[in-house]
Amino acid sequence: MSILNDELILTNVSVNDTNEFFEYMSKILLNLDLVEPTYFENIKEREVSFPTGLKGTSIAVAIPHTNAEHVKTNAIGVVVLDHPIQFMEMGSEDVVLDVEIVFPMIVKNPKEHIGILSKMMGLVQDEVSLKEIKKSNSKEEIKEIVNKFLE
Amino acid sequence: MSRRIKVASVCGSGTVSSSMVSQKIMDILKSAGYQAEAVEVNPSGMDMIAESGDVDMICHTCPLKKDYGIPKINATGFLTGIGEDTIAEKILEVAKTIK
Repeated sequence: MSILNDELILTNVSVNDTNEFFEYMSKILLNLDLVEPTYFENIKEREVSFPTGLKGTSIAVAIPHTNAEHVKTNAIGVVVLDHPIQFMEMGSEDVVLDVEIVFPMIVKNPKEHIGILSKMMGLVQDEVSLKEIKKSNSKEEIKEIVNKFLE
Repeated sequence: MSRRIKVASVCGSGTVSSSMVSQKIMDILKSAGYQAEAVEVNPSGMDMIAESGDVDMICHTCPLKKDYGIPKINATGFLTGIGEDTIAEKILEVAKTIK
């Protein structure tokens, strides 16, 4: 079974900033019982200290995640935003990226984190796939594209 | 023969992206003929090992505000594969200066 969670494939999501995004995402994750109640506060703080924006060659994405204690399982989501929101670039203090797709990474087992992240990086580097995800409104289609990288 | 270069690879968790990038850093240094070793840490771990004075180069995928007096290189591109050549050049430039 893929780590990609069908219920976390969301399109046309309209939020104005990371705070709104995390609020929106946390509610969904809590309802699905995938994270601990501490997730929301932690993801906000972690994104400030350790930003997760990544610039692709034409589409910027973000891979927000918390430490393992705030989540209950392994899951990856795909959230296609209606309009870009600003994330800071990973490793930087001042590079702001207009992020169009967010891949929330819920990782319970730190040992699996490297493998999952490497696979996700394959996707981040693939502009064609990112563009297809961006313009797609079909969960099935997005699932198929992302799963090619997660297998 | 130059001595072994010690690289600190720093990320938020101290385990995940730091391990991924330190692999690439080691490959670059070793294929350029250097002996090298890496240690993966989070920022507080970096504070600790910086005090030991035993680090030649810092490569990071999380923000590092502090100036340790050690060359710092943002290695996030080693995760995404974007701008890898530029990072590799920077690493080799620092390596050249290590006596």
